[in-house]
Parts: sequence; structure tokens; C-alpha cells
Amino acid sequence: MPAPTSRAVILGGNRIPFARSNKQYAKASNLDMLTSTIDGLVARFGLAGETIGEVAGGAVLKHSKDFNLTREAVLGSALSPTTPAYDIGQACATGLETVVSLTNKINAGQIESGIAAGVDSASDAPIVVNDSLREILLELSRAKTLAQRVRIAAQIRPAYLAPQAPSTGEPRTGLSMGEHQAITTAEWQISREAQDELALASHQGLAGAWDEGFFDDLVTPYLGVSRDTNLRPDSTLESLAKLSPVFGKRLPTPATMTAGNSTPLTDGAASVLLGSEEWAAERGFTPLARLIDAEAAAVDFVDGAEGLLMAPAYAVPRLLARNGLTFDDFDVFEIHEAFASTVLAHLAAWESEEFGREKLGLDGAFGTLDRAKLNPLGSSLAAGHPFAATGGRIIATTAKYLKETGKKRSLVSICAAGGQGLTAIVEAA
Amino acid sequence: MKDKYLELMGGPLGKIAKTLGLPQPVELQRFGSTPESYLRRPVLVLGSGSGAQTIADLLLDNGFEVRRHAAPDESLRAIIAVLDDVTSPSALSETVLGLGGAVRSLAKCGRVVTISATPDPTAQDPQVAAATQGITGLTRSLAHEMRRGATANGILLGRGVGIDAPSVASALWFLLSGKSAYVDGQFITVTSDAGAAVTDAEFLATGQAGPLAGRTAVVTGAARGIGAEVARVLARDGAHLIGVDMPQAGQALAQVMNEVGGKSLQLDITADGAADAIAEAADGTVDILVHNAGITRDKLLANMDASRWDSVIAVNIASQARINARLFETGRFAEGAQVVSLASTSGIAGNRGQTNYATSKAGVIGLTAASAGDFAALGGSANAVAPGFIETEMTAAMPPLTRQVARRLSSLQQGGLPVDVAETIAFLASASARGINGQTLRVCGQNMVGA
Amino acid sequence: MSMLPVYAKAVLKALPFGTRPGTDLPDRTIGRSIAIDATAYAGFAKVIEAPLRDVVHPGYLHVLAFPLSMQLLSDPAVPLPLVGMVHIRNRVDVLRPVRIGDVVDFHVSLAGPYAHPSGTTIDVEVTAQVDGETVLTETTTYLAKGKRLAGAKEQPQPEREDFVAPLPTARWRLDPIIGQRYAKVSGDYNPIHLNGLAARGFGFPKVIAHGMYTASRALAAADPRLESYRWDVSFAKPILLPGTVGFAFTEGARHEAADFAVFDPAKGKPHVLSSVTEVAAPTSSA
Repeated sequence: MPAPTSRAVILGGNRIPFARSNKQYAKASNLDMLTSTIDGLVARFGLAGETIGEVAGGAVLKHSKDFNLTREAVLGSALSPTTPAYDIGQACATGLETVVSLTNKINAGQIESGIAAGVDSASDAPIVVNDSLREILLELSRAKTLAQRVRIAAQIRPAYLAPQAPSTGEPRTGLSMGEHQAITTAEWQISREAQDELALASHQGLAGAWDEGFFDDLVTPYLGVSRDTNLRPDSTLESLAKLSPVFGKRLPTPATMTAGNSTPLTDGAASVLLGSEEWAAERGFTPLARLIDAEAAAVDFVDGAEGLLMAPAYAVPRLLARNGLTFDDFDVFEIHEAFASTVLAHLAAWESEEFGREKLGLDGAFGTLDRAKLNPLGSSLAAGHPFAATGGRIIATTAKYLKETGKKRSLVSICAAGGQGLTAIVEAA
Repeated sequence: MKDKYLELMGGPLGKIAKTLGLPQPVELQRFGSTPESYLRRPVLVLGSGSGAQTIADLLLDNGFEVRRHAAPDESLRAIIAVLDDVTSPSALSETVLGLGGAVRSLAKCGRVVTISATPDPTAQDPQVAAATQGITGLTRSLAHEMRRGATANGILLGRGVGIDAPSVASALWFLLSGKSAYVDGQFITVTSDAGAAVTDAEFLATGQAGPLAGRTAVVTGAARGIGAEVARVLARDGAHLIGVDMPQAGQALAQVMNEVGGKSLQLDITADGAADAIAEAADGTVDILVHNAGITRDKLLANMDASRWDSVIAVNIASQARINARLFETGRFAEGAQVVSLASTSGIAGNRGQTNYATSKAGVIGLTAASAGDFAALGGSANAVAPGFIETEMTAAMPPLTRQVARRLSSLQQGGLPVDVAETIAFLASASARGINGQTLRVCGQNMVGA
Repeated sequence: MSMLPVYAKAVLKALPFGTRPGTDLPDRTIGRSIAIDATAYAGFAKVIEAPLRDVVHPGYLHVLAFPLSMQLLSDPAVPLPLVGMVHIRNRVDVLRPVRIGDVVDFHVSLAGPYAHPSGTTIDVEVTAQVDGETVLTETTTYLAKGKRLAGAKEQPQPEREDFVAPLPTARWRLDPIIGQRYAKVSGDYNPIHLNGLAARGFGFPKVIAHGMYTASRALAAADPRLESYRWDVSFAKPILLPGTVGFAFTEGARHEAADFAVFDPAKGKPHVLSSVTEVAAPTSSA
């Protein structure tokens, strides 16, 4: 069994409501949102002026000026300025990796408390200059004489001045995540209906949680937004069925992925408070849950040998095997809904004899999970997905869910760009 | 909202206003802005009985400069008329006339405090009742005659309460200090000998030495306005804060709580389970609870719809009653728990367009009075504070002329500040004030409304 | 080295005066010795999106030999006009890795002319040596479309397989500026890659991407990790800029011997077909 010592406990979380990009948070930077999120967490736990062991955070779309994003957020927050911080990045798994990394540090006795955080703005995204212009500008900055500068500057052509917007495309393939997933969707023959049903369940689950006040102590409003703006409580299968496909239109099979069963670009931030049991007890904080173990996996998607977002299908069996667990040992499955079909492809892979034998090296299929336990409070299809913030959202949500329902064990799974996946086991404390 | 008129009166325009007979409000001296020279001025204690001597001795013990007779040309910080032993209206003469002779010697923002028995027609001899009731008329009228920010208030001794009761001293410290700057023409009734004795220095201390040190205070509606200021003042006096507000106000609430080092609790106080959530946030039991959250949904009753009526009742009074009841029922009020609720002068005088609001606020007064027994049994207290015209975002939204008139309608000729309400709440939440129970104290600058 | 005089000469040669020599090509070999400069190579690597490593991409060696090729092809003795010649095939045998800092001796000569179903071709033969050891050989085939030469030698033509476009595993969005960027790092300032008017003059509706840009980028994406290999490229439809093209393997996989294609993902037509096959490294110097 992993985690020889598991002193680290999950104490709670805070996020701002997630907003569709270029809407309410259009002018908010990653730093703004992260600072506000940390401040909300600090207020919830009365930590103003305190020094936390370490704050770990990150963003997927990052400005170069944000090289020290998390530390800058700490300096702008109500925490003591003597709180150290560091940035990490693992694409969409960044948020979960901050939790894993700080949990490990607490378990190792390096720190007693930590705040795991993640933020992303698809609105205030960095715009980069054309590579040619960038090269010329860099040359210009290296030039020593006026004559050199004039000669170098003369190379600038009007066409170089057009800025390049960042894309969510994979750097090695130039395909967007949706286009990649469309190939996987077709390969696993995930139907449009199944995708729409999952999307509907996500909206219903999240709407129900909001209505019953589940997020009252997990979310702090921001800029006048007090609920996730992507949430459509009134979605129906009929309304979802009316949407036109947006991904997979170039494939020979019919396109099934729509704006309704894919996550939109979203702005937001999330954080999780972690501490050793002793630290929590000293402050009278009630532990909600603990992160028991985590497993990352990666697949070679570059030539299309495996789907870009399929890594969790490999990580989960390894994680469960190491912990001697099967799907039946879990009460909740929190599988990040990058796209409805991503989740469904993972389920299909685990249920596939062929995948089990050939890809996982098992005797047969890995297993079938109880769909009733899947994303009970909705997931990214409804909440939206500000990349690095999703891990914090899921961990805080599932930790509180375990505490409230008295359930025992949750499986968290997040797929990420670059063919990666990060998965974790969370148990009630 | 800045009171521009008040600012101008502090300048050359003050003289012109005097000539024209316009209101001449002065900037009130509050806690922290009271000059040292003022604090050094003597207090004149009038009254011939043993009660007067007790008060004089108390003041001396607490380092006050005390006079028993007015000295000519000596500027006074306060005059205390101790009338606890008066048995008939005609016996008032000597002390009252002495008071009248000294009133002109009061410094700017000086204080008059009368101390007398609570009028109690059901128990008192008719002559005594006439005298005690008479003193309230005297104090209120004198309050109207006060100038330059000075106030007149009374301390009333309940049946069987001695003048040496801890809460009498505590009320005195409150009334003599800048904390009561906007309390005028009011009476603080000490209902029992309960409460911890406190010195003036202890009453005025802050932080870990403050009167609320070591206690946890829950303040509802703490995100902004009066609630935010209550949180700040309670924190200043040493309390750990738990700020409660609607989830939608979470961002502002977080800011206030981080400022005072408190905890935020996003909660709809009308929801089932609100009391449990509050108790849980307070680590099991509630010690100080300030029912501040309130809303207005003004409309003439003829035009009132159900949602306006029901929501105001639900938030302003029903939630308070439900939370108190639930906390009692589950045994989650701490020993010595103190509750302070926000009433309003509208609840006392009524206000056009506010049938719903005035109902709820009058309801608070009733709830408070009726809860006193339960809290006394716990060794605690329940009181209400009724603010008059307070400069908040809510009053800033009033039409300018209405706002100006509303300000000048009080004896102090200005609106109060949220901190004035907060100071009164902090006083009523302190251990030394546990002998004050079931009362509603107005913080209104002696507003004509509801007088 | 500026290529502009070469182009000027080529244009002059294309004009309808001057002498038309016979069918023989000049049989001289010209040479050049160049040290691989890290900064210049880095510029090239960046444009074709190859990782910047110590080992030099063979496309860069093509670029270094290119001025010599042009010099030979623009020789008045060549019986075909350089202007309008189309690069249709390229074969490189990478025998040894060439590293940054190596001094490479290039020897370039012409072979042909050869008869081709669509005209006449000329091969440019490049041999690159480091310390006397042959590290790379290249055959670049140019087609003079519609020009027939009586004495052109017969040559077996490589089989044209029918191309069935696979699902693209990558998509490249190519901006017009890519022509200028590649021109800057390759020295190939052929105006059809730079200027819309010039491109129209040669019958293209827009500027087109350098063939060797596309081929080099495809090889970088395939990233062969073989000691010595043959890199065959055949150029089909030119890529009009701006444009989006698909990339996929049709056989094999990254790092291995493989076939891979750059194609029009909408119409399924190929732009550049490439293959990497392993060849045994020579045991002794050539």
C-alpha cells in the first residue's frame, strides 16, 4: 500500500463561480481570480494573516509576466506575505497535481498546511507576436549599434504584425482537443444520445447541488457572479439534440460532439485547504477526506496510436491494482467531463475485453462502474472547465460529498493535454 | 455618504448658520477620536443620597476627576444626576436645578446622565412612580436642549437592582465614552445584578485586553453596512468573528472577514439548518450572536405583494426567532450567551411605505423582550438596538432633500454612522452588560421620529 | 550567399533569345566547404519546427547545397530553362549524422537529362563529406514541364501508387509568412513563395509553400531515430498559402522506418509523400 503515513487531510475548498469565457470575467486576469479565490478560502477558515506551509498553484494559459503567479497571488491575498508558493503545470491535471504534491509534502512532514490552487482564463489569454516578428525583436534587443538596429528593424514586414491568438490545439498535432476527441469518439462508437444523456445528467446534478446550497461553503461569488454561468438547469434531451455538431465534421463517421456535450472555454479559479491532522485539530477544523494515492499515465497520441484523452483509462487500473481495489469498492466516481464522450470512452475501454487484454495486459475487461455513482453533483459539462481550476473543484466537491453523505471512497480522474491523465483515490476522513 | 453640511459647519459657515438660526451640528467625538483634554475634564456628580456617593466613589476609583459641586468657569466632561432615592416629584428640585446651573459648563460633546429607578406603576407608590416617570421626561427634554454634540441619557435601575450593580457601571462607562456619541435622549435599563464588574479602563481596552477578548461572535449580514462595522468593532474589542451573509454577498463578506481575521459563513439565514450551521461554525456553541441581517422591500400596504411582505418578515424577524429557538432547543447557546438584534426606529414609530419592515422590527423588540427570561436562565442576555438615521448605502439611496431633512431631524442634527450602532451592540454583547436584558436601545441622536 | 543573381540569370536565360545548346549537360562538379553554424541552423530548425539538437536535419544540408545546384542549373550550357522547372522528387541518403560545427564539403553535379512522361528531368547530385567521409548523398529531380529533348535518356519512373488520404493525425495551419520565413533561413527567395503577383505569373492563384519546407517539416515530425536512412520525397500538388494541411503516417510510425504524407485534408489530395527506409551505413569512406 502506498502512503506509509497519511497525515494529510482535505479540510475544505473555495472557488469562484466558473464563467464562460469573454463574459463576466473577461477583464479578470489569472492573478485577479486566483487572489480572490485564495482570499475566499482564507476568510472561510479564518486564516487572515497566517503563514501557510506552502501554496501550490498553476494556470495552463499563462502570461510570461505570471512566471511566479501563485506567489504573486499570495502577496496580494490576506495570507501572511511570509507564505511561500510555487507554480506547477500539468495541463488540465494541474489543479489535481497541486493537491497531490502538497499532500505528499504534508505526509512527508515537510509542511503542516498547504493551499492547492489552480486558475485559468480563456478570456485574458496571452497573445503572442508572430514568430518572425519575435525573432526580429529579439535580434533587435541584442543589436549593439544604431546601424545594426536599423538594418534589423527594416526586416519587419506588415504581415509580421498580426498577433497570434493562443489555441488549445496540441502543439505536436495542431489538432484541437475536440478534434482529437472526435477521433476517439468515432473509434469507440460513442453515440450522440449517450453523450447528450451524460451532459443532461451533469447539468441536473450540478443544478440540484446548487439549489440545495451544497456550494454555499465551497464557492465565493466573484464580480457579481454567484453561480456557474454555464449551468443550464432547464436543459432537456430535446434541446441538446437540436444542437449541431462542432467536432468531428471532417471524419467519415457522423459527427456527434456538440457544444452541449463538450465543455466550453471557461474562466475561473479553485483552491483546496490541506493540512496535517495535528494542524487541523489545533485550529478546530474538521477533516473532510484524505487523498490516499494518485497515479498519472500518459499515452502516445501523436501519431494517433491512442486517443489524446485516454490516459486515465490506463491510470485507473494501475491505481486500483496498487491499492488492491476494484470499482465495487468505490461510492463515487468523479470523472472530469472534458467532453461527454471522453468519459464514455473511458467507461467503454474499461468494459472492453480487447482493451483489457491488449492495452492493460489483463485477462479480460477491467470492469464496469455503477453509472449511478458517476459525477453525482455534475461535472465540467455543466460547471465549465477553467483548465487548471478543475482539479480543485473536483477535490473540494467530492471531499465534502463524502463527508455529507457518509460515503467512503471516491475515484477522481482527470484527463489532460499531451495525452496525460491524473487519477486519485479520496477517502472520507 | 459624506454629510457636506456637517463639514461646512466646522468651517467659517458655522457663524453664518448661527445668525440665520440654521442647525449647527458639530462633528461628534467618538471612540478613538476623543481628545485627551476632554478625558481629563472633571465629572460633576449631583445628588444628595448614598447612591450619588457610590457613583462618585466609583468614578474616583476609576481615575476620573470628580466634583460634587459645580465650580464656576470649570469646563465639565459630564454631569451625573443621581436621583435613585427620589420619593416624590417635589424632591427633584435641588438636584435638577443644580444640574441646570451646570449645564452651560459642559464641554463640547459633554454628557448628562441621570440615574434613577425604573418607573414601575404596578409596584411603585404613586408618588415614587410620578417621580421616576417624571425623570424620564426631564432627561428627554434636557436632551433636546443640549448643544454642541452633548447628549443626555438615563440609566434606569430595575426593581431590586442596586446602584452598585455591575451593569450600572458598564452602562456609565458606555455613556461617558465616545462609544455612545449618537445615543441621545435614551434610557438604559439595568434589569438585574448579573454581569461581570468592569473598570472604565477595561471597558475601553481593545484587542486581547478588550471587553470581548476570548469570545466568539456571530454577526449576520456582515458583508456590508452596519453589519460589517459591527464585525470590525467586535473584533476591535477582542472577539473572534464569524461573519454570516447570503452566499451572493460572499465576496464582500470574505473581504470584511479577512480584514478582521474572522471566518466567513455563506448562509441563507432563512434556510432550515441555518442555526445548526451557525453553531457548527462557532465550534459547537454560540456565545455572542448579532442578528443584524435585514432587508427592506418598501411599498404602501395597499400595493404590497406577498413576496415583499413575506421576504421581509422571513429575513428580519422570523429567522431570528427560528434561530434562537433552534439554538435553545439543541442546547447550543453557550453559558452566558448574549444576543443583540437589530430593530429600527421605524419599528417604534412606524413609517409610511414600511408596514412590512416596521412589523418585522417591532417584532424584534417583542421577541427580545420575551426572550429575556430564557437568556437570563443561561446567565446571558438578549437586547435590541434600534438605529435611527444612519449613513449607509441604504440611506445614500434616499433623495437628497429627504436625506438632508432626515439628518437634521435629530437633536444632534446629523445622521449617525454605522460605527455608532456597532459600539452600542458591542456594549450590549459584553459580559459586563449581562445585567441589561430584554431591552431595546435606540441609537438615533434623539430623532423626532418615534420620540 | 544571395541567390538573386542566379534568379536574374535564370530569367534572362528564359527569354526567347540567345543560344539553345544541345542535349548534353555540363559535366563539371562544383564544390563548396561550409562549417555548420549553430545560429544559422537554429533559425532553420525553428522554421521547420524541428527540435534543435546537435544532429543537423538533412533538409538543412539540402539548403546549404542549393546555391551550387542553382549555379549549375542556370549554366547557359544546360539545355532547359531554369525558370519554370519544378522540383518533383528528392532522395537523400543519410549515412552518418552531421553535427553542428562539422565542416561539410559539398560536391554538386548534374545528371540527365532524362525523359519523363510530362517533359524532361534533370537530377542534381549532391555528395556531402565530413573529414573525407561521405555523410550524405542527395538526388534532387527537377522537371521541365512540357519540354522534350530528343537526346534525353530513358529512366525507369518510380511507380505512382494511388493515394488514399488517411485521417490526419496532425493539422498544420500555414500562414503566407511561412514563405518569407523559410526563404530567410534557406536562401531560396524564389518569388513564387514570396509574392502573390509573381506566383500568378507562374500560374499559381496564390503564393505557394516551398516544397522542401513541407518535406523537411514532415521529416521533423516523423523524427527518424535511425543511424542511417533513406529519405524519399515526392512532390505532388503545391500548397497554396494560406492553407491548412493534414499530416499522417500511412505506414509505420514515428522514430521508425515509415511512410508519411502531407495532404489536403478536405479533398484528400497529396501534397508531399515521404518515406524513410533504413539503409546500412557504409563501412568505409566513399
